[in-house]
Parts: sequence; C-alpha cells; structure tokens
Amino acid sequence: MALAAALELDEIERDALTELANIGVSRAAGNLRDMVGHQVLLSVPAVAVMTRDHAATLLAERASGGLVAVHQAFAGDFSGRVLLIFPESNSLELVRAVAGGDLPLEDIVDLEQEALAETGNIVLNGCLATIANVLQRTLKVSLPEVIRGSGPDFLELAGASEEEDVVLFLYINFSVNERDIRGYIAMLMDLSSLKSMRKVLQDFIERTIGQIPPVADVVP
Amino acid sequence: MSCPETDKVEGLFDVIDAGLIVLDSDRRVRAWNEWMTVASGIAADRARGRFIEEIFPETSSSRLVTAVTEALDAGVSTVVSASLHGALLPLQTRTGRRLIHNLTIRPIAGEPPRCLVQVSDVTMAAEREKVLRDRQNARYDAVVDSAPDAILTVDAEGVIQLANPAAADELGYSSADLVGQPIGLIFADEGAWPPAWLKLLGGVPLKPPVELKARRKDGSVSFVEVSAARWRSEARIFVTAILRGVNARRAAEARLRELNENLERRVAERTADRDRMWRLSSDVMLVARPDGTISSTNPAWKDLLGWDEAALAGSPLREFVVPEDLAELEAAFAEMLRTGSRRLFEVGMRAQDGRTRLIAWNAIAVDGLVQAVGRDMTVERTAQTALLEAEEALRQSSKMEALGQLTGGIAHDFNNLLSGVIGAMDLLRMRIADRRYDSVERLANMASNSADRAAALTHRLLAFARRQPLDPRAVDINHLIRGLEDLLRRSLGEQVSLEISLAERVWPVLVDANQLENALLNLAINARDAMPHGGRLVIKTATEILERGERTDVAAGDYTIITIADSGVGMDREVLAKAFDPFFTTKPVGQGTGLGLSMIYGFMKQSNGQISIDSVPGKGTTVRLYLPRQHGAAPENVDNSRQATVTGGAGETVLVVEDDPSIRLLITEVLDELGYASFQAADGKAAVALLESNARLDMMVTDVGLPGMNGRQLADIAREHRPNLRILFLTGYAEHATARGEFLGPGMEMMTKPFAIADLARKIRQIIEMECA
Repeated sequence: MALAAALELDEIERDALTELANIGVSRAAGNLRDMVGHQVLLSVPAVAVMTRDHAATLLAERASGGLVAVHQAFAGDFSGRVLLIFPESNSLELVRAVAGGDLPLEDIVDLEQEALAETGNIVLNGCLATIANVLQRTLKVSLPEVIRGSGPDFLELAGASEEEDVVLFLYINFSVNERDIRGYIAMLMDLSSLKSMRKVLQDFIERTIGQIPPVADVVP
Repeated sequence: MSCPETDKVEGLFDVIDAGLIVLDSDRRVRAWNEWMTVASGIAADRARGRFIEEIFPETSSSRLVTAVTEALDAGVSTVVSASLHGALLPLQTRTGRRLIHNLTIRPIAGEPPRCLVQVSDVTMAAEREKVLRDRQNARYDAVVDSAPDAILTVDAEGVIQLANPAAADELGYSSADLVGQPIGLIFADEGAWPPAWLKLLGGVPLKPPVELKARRKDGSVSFVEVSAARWRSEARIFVTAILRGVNARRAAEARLRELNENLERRVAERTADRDRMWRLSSDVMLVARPDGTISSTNPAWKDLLGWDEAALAGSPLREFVVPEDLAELEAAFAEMLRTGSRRLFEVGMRAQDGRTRLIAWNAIAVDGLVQAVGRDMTVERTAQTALLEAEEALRQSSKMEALGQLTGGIAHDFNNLLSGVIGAMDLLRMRIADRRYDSVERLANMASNSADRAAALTHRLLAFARRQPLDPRAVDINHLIRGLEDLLRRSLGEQVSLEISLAERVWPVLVDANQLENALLNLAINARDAMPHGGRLVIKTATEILERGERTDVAAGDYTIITIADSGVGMDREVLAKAFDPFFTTKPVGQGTGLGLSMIYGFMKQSNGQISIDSVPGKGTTVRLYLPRQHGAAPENVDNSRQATVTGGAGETVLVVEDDPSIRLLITEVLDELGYASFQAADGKAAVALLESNARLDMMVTDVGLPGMNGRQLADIAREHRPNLRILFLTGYAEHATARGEFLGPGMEMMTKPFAIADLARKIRQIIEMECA
C-alpha cells in the first residue's frame, strides 16, 4: 500500500501546503488586482492528494456541465502539469469580472480565451512561483493554454506521463467584483514528483518550525 | 555569445518577425533585436543594460516587471495579451501606426537564469476583429438597442449576459444591473417559466409567445409576452428572449372585460327588473304577432282572466275578445301596424269562468310585434255607469221636483185668479138674471183684474222660460232709470231712502225697455221687503269692459252695469244658491210669487246679459245687471205712458186669421167696434184664397201658431200677392217669436196674447196709420 501511504498527507503537511497555496493565490490576487483595478480575493480552503481516477470522479460529480481549464506544464525538481478548472458557465463571469462589466457580450466572448488564459496564468503562476520560492527550488513553467471539456478529459491529456497518476487537488474560491466563482487547482504529477515535493515540503516545515515531526510511515 | 552554435543563430535574432528582448537575471536588457529597434525607435545599444521600465518610463509596467521577476525567480511563463491590456509598450508599425502586441515572458534556462520577452504583432488581427466587431455591433445595436421590446440574452446557466435599454426600462433596472442577474429572478413569480426554460435549453423555441409575469426591480409585476429561442456560439449555448410589454393591452383587455361584465350585469339587472315587472304586474301584458297570434303573456292573465300562458300562447287574441268588440280590436291592430303609433282601446275580454272583463289596452307595434298592457276597467266602468245612472236619476228627480214646484205654484196662483174670474162671472150672471145692474161694472172689473193678473203670471213664466217675446231696442239706461225714479220712490215708501247715482255716460244697450223697467221695479220691491225696518237703496250705473276669462259667468265684452244695492237682511249662502229658482221665495205665503228673480234671470240671459247677486247676511244684498253694449243705432227714448183711448177706424178692411174661434170672434168684434171691416179665415189655406182674391185688404192680423202653414209662412205668401200688406202677428208664445227682429219684415208688427182690447185697437190703428203715412 505504498501508493496509499504516499497519498496520505499528514496534518502538518496538509496545513503547510494549504498555507503555501494561500500565499500563492494571495500573490496572484495582488497581481490580478493590479490588472483589473479593483479588489480580487482568492483563497484555498482545502487541499487533498488523490488518485487521478478519484479526481476525475470528483470533478464529474461536482460539475454538471462542461468545464474550462487553463493548463500549464511545469518541470524541475518535481514535474507535472497544473490546471485551473472551473465550470464553463462561470467562465464568462470570470472574464467579465476581470475585463470589466461594461463590455458587450460579444466582446466578452471574443476576449474569453485570452482573458481566461491570462487570468489562469496569473493565478497558476502565483501558486507555482510561491511554491518554488518558498521551497527554494526552480521550476520551469510553460505558457498557459485554455482547454474545454470534462474532468476526465483534463486528467488524461495527450502527452501525460503514465506515472502522472497522483493529483494534488486544491479547492479555490474567487471573489471578483462581487461575483463568487468556485474552482479547483489540480496539480498532476507522478508519484516520484509527489515524493520530491513532500520532501521539499518537509524541508520547508523544518525550516519554518525548527523541528522535524515524527513521520513514522513516511519513509523515503 | 561566442559559442559557434550561438553565432550561427545570431542572425536569426534580428530577422525574426517578432520583438525579442533578453533580460539578465538583474532584469537589465541584454539583447534587443532589430524588430524591437524598428518598433520602438530605440536602438539596441541604447536599450542594452537598462531596465524595461527605464526604457518605457511612460508605461505602467508593474505587470511586466512582476512577470519578469517571476520568470527569473520561479521559472514561470506569463502571457500579457493586447486584448486585456491594450498596447502595453509604446510601439509603432513601420507606417507609424500604433502597434498592437501580445507579450510572453519566459524564463531562459541556465545559470544565472535569464528571461525572454517576446513581442508579437497582432495589429492586423486586432484591426480585422475591430472592423468586424464594429460592423456587427452597429447592426446589432441598430436592432437591439432601438428595439421597443426588452431583449435579454441568457447563458446556459440562466444568467443574463445582455440586456438592451428597453429591458432595463421594462424591468426597472439599469442595463449593467441586469447583466449577471439570474433570469429566474425576473420570472420568480411565474410558475410557467421553469418548464419553459427547460424546453428552451432543450432547443424548443418559445413559440408562439407566452404571456408571463415579470417581476420588476421594485417588486411590481409587469405582464410580458415572451418569445425565446436557443442559439449557439461556438460551444456555448445562449437563449435570447424578447419580452413584449403587454400591460397596456392587458389593461385595455381588463377594462373591456370589466365593461363587458358591467354591461352584462347591468343588462341582467335591467332584464331582471323588467322580468319582475312582467311577472308581478297586476296589469295583463301581451306580446302578439301582427296577425294577432299571442306570443307571450304575463302571469296576470291567470289572476285576472283565469287563462294559463299555455292556453294563450299560439292562440289568436280574438278568441279571447267578446264578439261585439272584435271590430274594435281589429281596427286597433290595423291602425297600430299602419302608423306604428300607440293605440288605446277598450275591449271586453272573455275570462275562463265565462264572465267578461273590460280591459283598457295600451298597445304599440314595435319590431314587428304588438306589445300591449291591459288594465282591468270592469270595476271602474261599472262604477262609472252606476254614477251616470245615479246622476241621471238625481237629475230626473230634481227636474220632477222643480216641475212639481213649478206646476204647483202655477196651479195655486191660477186657481186663485180663476176663482176671482169665475166668482166674478158667476155673480155677474146672477146679477144680470136678477136684472140688478148696480154692481155689474164692479164685478166685470174684478173678473178683468183677475184675468189680467193671470196674463201677467203667464208672462212671467214665459220670461223665466226665456220664451218671452221681447222687443229689444237700443236703450239709454240712465234715461230709463230717471223716468222710473218717481215710481220707485212711491213703491219703496217712506222708510227706505233711494239714492240714484248715474254714470255720466253709459253705453246704449239692446234690451226690451218695458221688461227692464219691470225687472228694476221687481228688484226694488225685493229690496224694500228685505228692509222691513227701513234702509237705503242705491241704484248705480256704470260701464265696464270685461276681458276674456275675467268672469266665468259673463262673456267678455263691453257692458253697461246697473247695480241695485240694499242695506237689508241679506241672504245666507243656502238661500243665495236658490235665489234664481222659480217659485222659491223667502216671503210669507201670499206676498210673493217666487218668480221675481227667476224671471229677471231668464230675461237677462235672453238679452245676452247676466245678473249677479252678492249678499252678506245682516249687511245687505247687491244685485248687478250686466247689459251688453249696443253698437250702432242711438237709443230712442221710449214713451212709456199707456193710452187706454180706443181710436176709430175709417172703413179699412182687415183679414183675421185665427184657428181659435173665440179669439177670432173677439178680434172681429174689436175690429167692428173700431169701425173696420173684416174677413175671417180659420187657417192658412182659407186665408190664401182670400189673399188671392180681389177683395180689399189693408191689413192682415194672423196668429203665428196656425195649423198647417204657420203665420210667418202665410205672411210670405201674402206678400207675394200683396207686397204692401200690413201684417200684425199675434202670439201666445213662440220660440221664433222671441227674436222679433229676425222674425219680422218691414210693415210687420207683433202682439202678445193675452192682450187688452185697447192695446189691440191702438196697435191696429197705429199700423194702419203708419202705412198710410
């Protein structure tokens, strides 16, 4: 049950990851605020590590209609891809929130692709940059790409490694321009990447609180 | 950059059709390709070693700085699109236009890390898009923004993405407020919306439009007619709904509906009222066809005549009318249908029990039907008949009573007078038989007096009966009264003072002077009797013009009025009411005949005048005589002195025509006494024979009332033969004799029977002499 054990983040890890994610999205929110000119609130209330299948099921359950995602790939000490996912029905709201409410629908539709890409880019960059900074690791992150489809579509993208069967799942709330939008950030990586990430996470925790908690069942 | 590999591609750096900027780890420009030089106008050597924000100080480049920092620190890549940021950097195309560009900021792997900023020219695409968009928007705006109907475009989640100005107006929002609202909020009060929405999402258009309740921002309801359809934009589903406000139409409809309901109610009420009237009326009501067939009847028929509507409907109305009134019914129907006017007619209607009821119908033909309301007049008519009969009986009994009183009075007076005559004649006969002639003359005078009084009585009766032969002439009343003054004073006696007050001028009147004198004398004596203890009698004359309608009892016209006022006992209302009745008298038996006032009344009526009496008990009585003004001939002042002298004739011949032998004999005796010759004829036929003969005839004395041809006709024949023949008519009474002027031609005179011998002689003499003159 190595996989199950590997998937099991302990409480401190989860807290640390949640905190990291929140730092990241806060940074992104700041960037977004600079861009759109008014307050943007982003928060990550919870994180979880799960299998890809589980994540696909979860997305299918949570979203009845189509989904839209901003995709970026990353490589470095740990590699994989990250997706900002939200219901397609919310995407126009998000665009409108970002681009301003006065634009006609046609313009919003025209802008949707670029606006989603850029917005997602900011949010995802914020998270990844924060993680990289905090963990003092360097990642190489690709340019964003907007894709549409269902949850499983996103999780079985072409070129995905066989090994990428672990998903770090972050819930994310947008509050932009008095509109609340719920979404998810899914980081797909292989088990080794996860292990690497947990390792640097342990380093971070150690650095932060000055001691290594006894993690009996986490043996590299 | 001395690596041969790198040198190989060095040229590429400047020929690539994109802006490339390589930044060092300290964010200073390390490389700046030719494209950048052209687009920014800044040569590479001037850019190199500087921060981007230094090169483009006017650019708000925090986004770019952040992206560069993240790329260098964390290795992340960033896109900055022109569509969201406009032209981030101040770049120009080769023609000097603004260069629209996207930026990508990527880390360049290596140690120390570097960063690549790539600038892509999207001017062409952006412009093309703008043109397309503007064109599209222009079309779109023209339609949508100016549409009078609310247009909402909703995404698949039901969130409003577009609202035109009409929608904002209709729903009370601003356009910006509406966008982003769920459309379910608009149709929150409308149960028909959720199923319609589901159908729409399923691709079934909302057609034909359905009327829905829309909730305005203020919570009020607006009725809209909604048509909607789904459409796709790439992968997205939208629903565009057109909401047409139908409040005005609904209000009009509601108003119309209310009016209709009101009208129905009013019609119903009115109908109910009429129906009630129809049902509850005690009058019978009927609708019949022009041919008289009964269409409908009200329940009063059952109550009044006993007929059920079932028995009546479809039957001819004539079957219910008594046979003797059928002609009346048919005439009424014919008249109604011909003229369309209302007809009132009464016919007897047969009741079921066999009796007849008299119904007064008020009927009119309207819209080809005869509508009639009938009232039962049976009781009224019976009562009316009874009343008429009672009145007739009363009148008859009054007449008989009056006649009885009259005949009684006459008989009484005549008996008295006849007793005097008969008694005197009996005594006379006895004295003659005894050859005692000493008191013969006294007895003869006694008989004559009684007979004279009888003659006066009949005269008065005739006057009352207005059968008095009058001799009206134009009379000066003042003159007449002055001539009567002595006689009046003697009649009134010492105790009554007479005051005569004559108007300066009075109109002449046409009246029989002798009868007027009698009337005045009679009134004066009545007045005297009303003043047993003395008093004052005033006789006045005056003139008066009565306007039409001024008096009910006197016709309008000019009158000379004689007023006789006493200060006597007066009369109460009851006595006054009977004052003109014949033989009514307040005087003790034997003192009066009761014919005085009635005679004067008859005389005045016959003279086209009037008499009025005002009386107050204890104060006195005032009698006014109204005599109509005579226009024309001036009055001749009549000499009233009576001459008893009998004048002799000179051999003239007189034809006497009289059916009564004793009177004929009497007249011939008189003529003989007077010295005239005479022929006698008993009737007109015999008279004509004489008139046609050659015998001398100076005059004809004829009775008016002859058997066969009357006196007047005889006179006409006589004049044919002898145009100058003088004629004297004798008459007891004759209707045609009362208007002397019309009856008598020139050379004709009239005398009333009975007459004194002396009067007859004088009259004959006067006529013959007049003719001779």
